[in-house]
Amino acid sequence: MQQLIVRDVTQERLQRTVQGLKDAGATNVDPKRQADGKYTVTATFPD
Amino acid sequence: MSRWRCWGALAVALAAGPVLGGCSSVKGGPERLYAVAEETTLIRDQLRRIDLAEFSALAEAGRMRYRNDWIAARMYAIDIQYTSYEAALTQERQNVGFGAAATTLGLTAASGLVAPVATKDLLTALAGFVTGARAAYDDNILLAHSMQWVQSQMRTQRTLVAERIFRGLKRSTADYSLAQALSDLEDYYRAGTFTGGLIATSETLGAEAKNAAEVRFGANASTEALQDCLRKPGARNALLNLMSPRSSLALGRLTVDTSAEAEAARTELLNKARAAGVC
Repeated sequence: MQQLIVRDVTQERLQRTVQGLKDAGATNVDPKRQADGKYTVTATFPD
Repeated sequence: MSRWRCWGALAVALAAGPVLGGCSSVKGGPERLYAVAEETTLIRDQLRRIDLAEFSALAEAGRMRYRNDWIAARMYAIDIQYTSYEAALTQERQNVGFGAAATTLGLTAASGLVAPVATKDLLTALAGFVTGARAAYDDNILLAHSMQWVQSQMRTQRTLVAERIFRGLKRSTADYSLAQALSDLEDYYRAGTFTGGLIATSETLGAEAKNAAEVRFGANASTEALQDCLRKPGARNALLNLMSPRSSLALGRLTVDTSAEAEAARTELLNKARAAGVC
């Protein structure tokens, strides 16, 4: 299992980003809100 | 308030820490039938010294029994020593952390019950001292490395080495020699030491760091083109087949990374995909 951590994802791009990571093969995608209102998205990949 | 009552409150407060610190839940476990030292002596008395000439002269079945009995007895001796060591480590952490917290609580509660300013000041000063002592201990390197985590690594490593030994003991002495078994036995002992736990912790953290990639989010026309392509049925596998090495994490990264390096890799991938009719 490998993790990709994507920082500073904007609110407007969040849904598309999460979907893109899932389409690329992420088995788990977990967005967390940062203090500045942007999101840190942690995606787990099987390889 | 009488002088006796003041000293009584102080005595109750100071007693709270040690009394609570001695709770059954923070002790290592129930009493043993034999003390660890007695049991260790029993095993040592039963265990013969390894006689390689005698070992070599035995038939294969005898050699396996000799090796397995010897290794199993030594493992058991290491286990009972380890249990004692682990309990001491746990108690060390709990006694300081919990005992200091309990004493602080006791002193704080007592200072609210007594009227004379001098006594309250004394109790508050003592509470501050105890809290300070705990803070100093918490800064200790043992706690900085999280003793609980290290202990859990020790257990994990011990289990892994034990499994290796048990697998070996099922094999012939030609496949798993006495020397190999003794070497693994030493590994088993080392896995149960604090140093072994620290090494395992740093290796685990290193492996986790290697398995994580971090990127700052970016979006442009090519990331959107790749995301649009990925939505097509079967596109993911087709895109992965065009990548070398094949990696879904790298593919995922290309959907969010606008660095020059990622841009070049994405452009190349999209060009190949368009030529192959994937995108």
